[in-house]
This record gives sequence, structure tokens and C-alpha cells, in this order.
Amino acid sequence: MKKFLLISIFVLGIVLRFWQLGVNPPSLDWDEAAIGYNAYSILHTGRDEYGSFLPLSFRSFGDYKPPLYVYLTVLSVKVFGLNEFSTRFISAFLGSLSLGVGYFLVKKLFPEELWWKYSLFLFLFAISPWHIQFSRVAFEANCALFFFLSAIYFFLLGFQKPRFLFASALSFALSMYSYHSPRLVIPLFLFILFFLFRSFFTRNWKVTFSVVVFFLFLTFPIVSGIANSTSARFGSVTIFNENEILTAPVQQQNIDKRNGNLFGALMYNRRVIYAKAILGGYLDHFNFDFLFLNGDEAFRHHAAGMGLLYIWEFPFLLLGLIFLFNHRKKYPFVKVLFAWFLIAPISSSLTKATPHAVRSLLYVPTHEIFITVGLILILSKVFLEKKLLRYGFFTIVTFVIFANFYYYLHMYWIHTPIEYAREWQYGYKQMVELVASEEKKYDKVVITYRYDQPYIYFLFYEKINPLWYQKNWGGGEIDRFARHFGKYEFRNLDWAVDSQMRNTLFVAVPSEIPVDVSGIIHTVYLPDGKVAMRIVAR
Amino acid sequence: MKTKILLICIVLTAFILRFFDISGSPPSLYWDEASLGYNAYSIATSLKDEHGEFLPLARFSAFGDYKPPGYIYAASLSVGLFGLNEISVRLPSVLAGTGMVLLTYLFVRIFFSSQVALVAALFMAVSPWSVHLSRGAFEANLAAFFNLAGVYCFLIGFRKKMSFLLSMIFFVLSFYTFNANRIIAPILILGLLFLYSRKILQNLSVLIITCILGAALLIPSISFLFSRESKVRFQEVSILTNLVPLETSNMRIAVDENNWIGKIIHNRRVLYGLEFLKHYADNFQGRFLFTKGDANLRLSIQDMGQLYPWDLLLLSVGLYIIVTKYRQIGSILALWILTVPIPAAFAKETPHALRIVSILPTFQIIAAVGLVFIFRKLKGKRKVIGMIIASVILSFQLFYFTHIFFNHYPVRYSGAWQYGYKEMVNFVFNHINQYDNVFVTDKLGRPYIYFAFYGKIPTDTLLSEEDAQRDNFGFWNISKIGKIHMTLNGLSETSGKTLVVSEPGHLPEGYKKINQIINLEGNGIFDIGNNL
Repeated sequence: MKKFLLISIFVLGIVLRFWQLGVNPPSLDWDEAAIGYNAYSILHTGRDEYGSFLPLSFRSFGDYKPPLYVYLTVLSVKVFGLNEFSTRFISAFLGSLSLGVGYFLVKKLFPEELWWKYSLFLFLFAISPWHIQFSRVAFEANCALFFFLSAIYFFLLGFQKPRFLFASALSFALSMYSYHSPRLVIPLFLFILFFLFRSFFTRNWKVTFSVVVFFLFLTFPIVSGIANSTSARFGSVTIFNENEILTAPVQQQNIDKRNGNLFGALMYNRRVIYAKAILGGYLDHFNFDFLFLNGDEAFRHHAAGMGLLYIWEFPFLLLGLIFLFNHRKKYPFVKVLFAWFLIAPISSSLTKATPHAVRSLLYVPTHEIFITVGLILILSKVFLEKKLLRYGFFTIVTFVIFANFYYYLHMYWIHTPIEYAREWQYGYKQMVELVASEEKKYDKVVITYRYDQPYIYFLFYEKINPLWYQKNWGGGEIDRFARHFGKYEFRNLDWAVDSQMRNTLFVAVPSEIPVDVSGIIHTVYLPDGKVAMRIVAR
Repeated sequence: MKTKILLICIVLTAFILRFFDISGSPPSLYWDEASLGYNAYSIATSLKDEHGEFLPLARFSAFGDYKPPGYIYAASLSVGLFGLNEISVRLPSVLAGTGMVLLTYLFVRIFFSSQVALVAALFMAVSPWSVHLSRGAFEANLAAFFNLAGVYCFLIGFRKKMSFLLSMIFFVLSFYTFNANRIIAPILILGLLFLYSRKILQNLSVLIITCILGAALLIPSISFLFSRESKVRFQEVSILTNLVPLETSNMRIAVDENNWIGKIIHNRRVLYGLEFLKHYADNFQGRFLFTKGDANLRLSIQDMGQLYPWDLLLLSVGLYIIVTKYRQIGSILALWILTVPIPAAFAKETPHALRIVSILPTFQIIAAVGLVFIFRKLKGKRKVIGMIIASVILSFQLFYFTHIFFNHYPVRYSGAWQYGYKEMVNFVFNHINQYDNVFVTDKLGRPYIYFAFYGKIPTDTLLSEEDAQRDNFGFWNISKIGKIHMTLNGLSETSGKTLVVSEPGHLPEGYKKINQIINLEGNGIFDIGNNL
């Protein structure tokens, strides 16, 4: 019974993550396509799309992607070929493994509980909309989460056998090689862990010292490379380089200075301004709307009409939090959980788009743990009650959980692919196939940049030889909205001028060309029937 | 004795923070304040409202927005005593805010030691939320006072039976003072009755008398509440008039090919319910409470949250302590905190500091419990150090708030307070005898109320000299008082000596600029010109 239940929950989790992996979300977004093609490029040439040999960060669109996900994808591209499934495979695979790691981690955090309680956690984790969302897309954050979970698990094992601390350090490092946000969260988290368990670490100072050296050795390339990789990304998303956040305060500060009120001028100090901005961003991650109703503003981060957690989980989340805090003495490791919960959103709060479901992904499992604890608390209270009440309550809870689960699946599989198709850059694949079938007849192909980064889809779906592309991408700096290689030109159209060109194939969004223009040979539609792109021959 | 002195000091501090330079920050009266003030003046001098209605009880028409009567009657006392000016208009709110500090002490005293009660009163005294809203003529702030008084009297009712009646009267007053409290008060009363049902049943006779009294007091407002006009204002701000959930619902049902399950789960009521929940929860956003405050320029200084930053810590601790240790006050505070945002959640702009101000002083009480608990954990020397640190942090935060509130806020946001009307109106009245006609632009909205207010025009004169129409939405449009036209239309057909007030740079041809009204930041508000 016990084993059967566990295995079926695990299988459920795998099915939820792998079922029709290449089909829903309805298309690859540009980051996924870039990861896929760079893995393909590495596989065949050992170099990325720009010809850098085994880079530690991938230049891609200038966002310098962390390397680990790409390298892991090399394996799946090798096995399954370059397609949507192989690009997303690693995420689904590590997402499924995370369930297992999470299960053992919870057993370590709360030892000697009844078996069904662990199964309940596994079930809630397996059906978590937040975790499923990012296990079904090639987002590096999910890979980082897997290594982060493993690292904490090994860390807890390390209290019995200190050599596991090396495995923990390795996993933490791998997590930092997977995604940007752990690069800030993990060092902070480690500081807190050292502080919380300082007596253990000072007692085992020899091991501690060698683990620290080991960790620093592993992460040294990140620290030394931070100038071009994380900081490039950080620079584009952080609150700190925003002039607008400081302009008005500086004006007010000048008024104080003019009036000779220097203490007053301190109130508009930029440290105060930044501190407020960070705190605001941090608190955004605890918004009810974000967690339970609508998710964040990016439609790729959640199913239509859904938040990141199930709405019924809210009271149990609160209950679990309070209960665990109240009984923190009983479970020696629960402080790890609280530190994790509070630190995980920090790197996300330094950025502009808060709250952010991807950058704060590391704290998904903590929510599931608190919810499980809250639910168990109520269930075990109810088990002591009269039969009628017990069965009645149990029926209601089961119904609510499954109704919400059904709603989520319905929204995710039926409505989201239709409503959010454009957010997934739907239409590029169809367009590339159409262009490929026509292009022989034309000297030139001009493709609009309106949906951003079209070139990567040509590389991906036409499987353009990486060796050839590495020589022909152009070199030097790349304009944000213009690229070209071979007979392809990627830029926004200026129809008044472009319409004079001859023997050219155009790909345009509807707003770029007149409705009644002649020579439309194909139209690419979104799933809801709206026009995504038109292909025009001249 | 010591407690009493401390309490007096705290209440005095509260009063000073709310009353000091009351006409300087906020820098001027905004429309609703001017309207409340003039109607109060009109009641005090003629027992009629600005439209000539004798002692309205259900509502005041005012601009056609149907203001509840509570604040106007309260202000009619202060206006009657001190004349019509900024101070007397805002005085009821100042006193309500100060009174809430005292009531906070008394309320907390029911459950906790005087130590906790004093800290809670102190937190209430220096609360940016309360100070800010107590310094403007905000009906909601007066209603919050009545609300707190109602809850307090209910709780002491078990000792002094008559205070049940008093409690009912206060709740009814809050009902007559602010729209949101028409929903808050009944839910709070029902909730309290439920929480104390066992004790209440022992006092059944008092309960029945109280309910009869309450019902009787509501009679004057019933016909208004069910009328079409009361719904106009509601629909204007309601989320239920937003069509997006309806369209989404239809779209999703269509995708599901109209099957029954789609019709259930994509029902528009579900989507509107979720929308309601979102707006409800918005009022508890961390950014709103701790870093940014209300986005409405009139309702917060924009540079800090509705609470102080350290309240984040104190509230977490206090909440934990109350939930785990003090069930009784915990259930009352929970009822209170969860009830107040309900009406606000029906409106589009959330979070909204004004519509939920009746939530005060719950946050301050919880924070006080948190702080006192932290101090109880500290022993000896550490306690002293802790107290010093806490005082430094509190003073710093208070300085932050008051510095910005008194020095920067009125200058930077004077536009949001319709600054310039007073100066313009006074100029016009000083020169009016030289002209046959005055034309004033209505681009900044409702100029007539400022002429009525600062001209102290008697109600009967106003009624006989004004030219008033109502538009389709029921709003009053006063286009003329005597020779002052509240529009620039018809200017070209006029002859004779004319004074014109226009937006900056918009004086009509043939008029020479003789004065300019600027706001506190130095930007032009009005150009004044004539054709002499």
C-alpha cells in the first residue's frame, strides 16, 4: 500500500511534467530556442553560436545565459535530436527528480513521522502549478532548484557524515552555474547556515575549512567571470541603475540643502531610497494576488486564470507557518526551512519586475512544506472527531483539492495555449517552415523584428550548420533590432521603402503592411484565430 | 498616576501632530473639503444645505455625489463656533484622530496591562496613516473614530449595560458618516454578537432594546439607500461594472463549446469573485503598508508606507503572540481586520488608505503587543539598551514622516489639493467692484464651491443668484453666481468691463494679464486678465 501509493504519486508527477512536453506550452520562446540551438552547436562543434569554445556563460542575445542547462541539454539533443522535446527534456527530467529529492529532504527535516504525511507532501509537490509550470519549459531556474534541493539534502546528511558536505558544496555550486538568482541567494543562505549551526562547524573545523575551500574553488570561475556574465544580466534588470528612482528624491534633497536642513536632506539619501525599493520588491513576493490569484505579470510564468499555488492552500500555508514556528524547538532543522523561505526571494527583489515567479522559484518547496504541515495539522485534529464529522470533512477537503486541481489542468491544457500563445512566440515555427519551402525562389528574405529575436528560430528549426553560422554571424557588436546572415535580413519593415524591393520575400506583422497589399502568399495564425504574421512575395 | 500623566502626554502629542500648522499642510482645501465646509456653514447659519434642503438626514446632495451627513453636522458645530475657515472645517477630523488615541488606550486596557495600552496609544498617536488623514476633512476618519468607539462600548457593555446602547449609537453614527461604514458596521455588529453570543443571550432584554434603537435610527436613511441615486456613486467606482471578467467568461465558455462544466467553472460570478478577492487582498500588500503607501496623492506622502517600516517586524511578532496566546482579543482583531476591507474591495482603486481607515488602530495594537513582548524577553542591561534603540528608531521614523509631511509634501503635491483657488477667489473678490462681469475657467473643476466658501456667501443669496442645472448623471453644475460666470463659454458675447480667470497662457485675445496665481512649486495655476 505504502509503496504503491508512493510510486503512483511519483508517476503522476512524471506524467504531469512529461506529457506532451513539446506541445504545451504551445511553442518555444526565444530563450528556449537559444538554449536548444546552443546545445546543438556545442554538440557538433564544441563552440557556442558565436564560436566561443566551451564558454562558461552563453552570450546568446547578449543576456549571457548561465552554462549548466545548455551543457546538460547537449545530452538530450544528442539522444532525441534538436526539437522542442529535447530542449525541454532536462527541465522535465530534473523537475521529476526534484520530487524524489524533496521527498527525502522532508524525511530528513521531520524525521519519524507517519508515512502518509510524507506522501501527502510528495503529492502536493507533484501537483504544484508553480513547479509544473517551470518543469515543462527550458528555464534554467528549474535546474537550479534541483541542485539547490539536493544541496540542502546533502547538507543535512552532513551532520551525520561530514563528507556529505562536499556533495552539498558541489550541488550548491552547480546551482550557481545553472541560474543567476542563486548566485546571490546561495552565498547569503550559506552565511545564515554557518551562523545557525556555528557550534557544529567550529567543532568540525577541519572538514568545514576544506569544504569552504572546495566551494570557493568550484565557484571561483563565477566570481572572476562575474564582470561579463551576471553583471551584464544584472545591469539590465536591476533597480540600481534606474535614473528615475533617484531623480525626484535628489530634487527634494536639494530643497533641504538650500534651506540648510542637512538632517532633513539625509531623509532623501539614496541608500534610504534603495532600501525602500528593495523592501518593496521583497514584500511583493508575499502578495496574495501573486501567489494565489494571478501570478506575476509575465504570462509565460503561470496558467491562465491561475496563481502559482492553489487557492485552497492559503489557510494551510498560514497555519503551517505558525505551527512550525511554534514548534521550532522540536525539529532542529526547521530553522533551515525558515531561512530558505525568507532568503529565496531576495535576489528577485533587487530587480525591477517584482514579484517574479522565475527568480523566486527556489522557494517553491518551502511553500509546499508549510502547506503540508498545515493540512496535516487539521486532518489529525479531525481524525479524533466523531465519525460523521470526520468523513464529512474528509470528503469536502478531497473534493476541494481535486476540483481546484481539475480547474488548473483544464486551464493549463485547454485555455492557456490559446490565450497566451503569443507570449510563447507562437507562429515562428510555422513561419520558418513556410519560408523554408518558398525561399529558393527569392534572392532575399526580410523578416520583421516585431516579435523579437526571429533569427534564433531559423537557426533552430532549419538546423543551420553551426560551423557555417559561427563564421557568418557577422562579428562585433550586434544591433538590438537588426541581424543578418546568408540571404536573411532581420529588421523591422518600412513598407514605403521596402515595397520597392524586388525578388524578395517579406515576413511582416499585420500592422506593418497595408491590409490590401498584393502578393500575400501565406498567413500564419495564432490559435485564437488572430493573424500572427503574413508572408509577402515581391 | 504615572500612567495618567504619560497618557495625557501621548494624547497631547497626538493633538499637536494633528493640529500644528493645520492650514499649511495639507496646503489647501480640496473640493470635497470645501464642499463639506460650505454645507456645514449653510447648516449652521440657515439650517439648510447649499441646495436649500432643510436639515437633510439621509444624505447631502453636494456636488450630486451624495455625501453622508455625519461630517457636515460635526463641522457645522465647529464652523458655527469658529467661523468658516480651513481650521474649522478640518477640526472634527483632528479631534476624531486625537480621540482615537485615547480610545485605543481604553480599548487595549480591557485586555492588557497599561504598559501595552500606553504603547498602543503612542503608536496610534504617531501613526502616519492616522496623522495624515486626521489633518484633512476626511469623513472616513471621523467614521473610524465612531467605529472604534462602537467596538469599545460594545466590549464594556458586559460591565455597564447602558453602553450597549451607546455602542449602537456610535455604530449608527459611523453608518451616517462614511459610505464604507454602511457595510462595515452591520458586519462588525453581527460578528461581535456571534463572538459573544453566550454572554449576549444572558442580556437578551438589553440586546432587544439596542436592536430596536438601531433600527429606529436607520429609518431616515432607508428610502435613500434603496433609491437609484445612491447606486450611481457605487457604480462609478465598482469592479462589477468592469466588463473584462464578463468577456473572459464568455470567451472561455465558447472555447469549451458551451458544455455544462465550462459554464460552471467559467461562470462570470466565479471570475467576479476572484476579482473581488484580488482587490480585497490588495489592501494587505506589503508595498502599500510598509514602503509606498496609497497611490492617491492626497492620502499619503508617497515616500513611505501607511505604517512605519519597523512595524513589519513588530507586526510579525505581535501577530504570532496574539494568535498563539491571546485568543479573545485575537478573534476580535481578526474580525475587525477582515471586515473593514470588504466594501473597499468592491472598488477599482485598491489598496485604498481612506476607505479602510476604520481598520485603525488594529495594526498599532498588534505592533504594541509585539514590542512589549520583545522587551519582556530582554533582561537587565539589555532591556535598557533595547529601549534606547527602540526610541531612536521610533524618533527617526517619526522625524522622517514629519519632515517630509511638513516640508516637502505640501509643496510637491499642492496641485492635488487644488492649491490656488483660495488665492484666485480672494483676488477676484477684492477687485469685483470694478467689473461688470467675471468669467472663471472650469477646467480645474467646480470653482463655484470656492467662491461660496471663501466669499462666505449666505445660503439664501447663493440660492437666489446661482444658475444651477443637473446633468444626466445627477451631478450639479453651477454655471453662475451673481455676476461671476463659472465657465469661459459666452465670454465673446459679453460686453462691458470683464475680468477673466483662465488656465496659464489661455487668456482670450484682447485681455491683458494683470495677475498670475502660482502653486507652491512655482508653476502657474491661473492667469487673471481684464479688458479695461
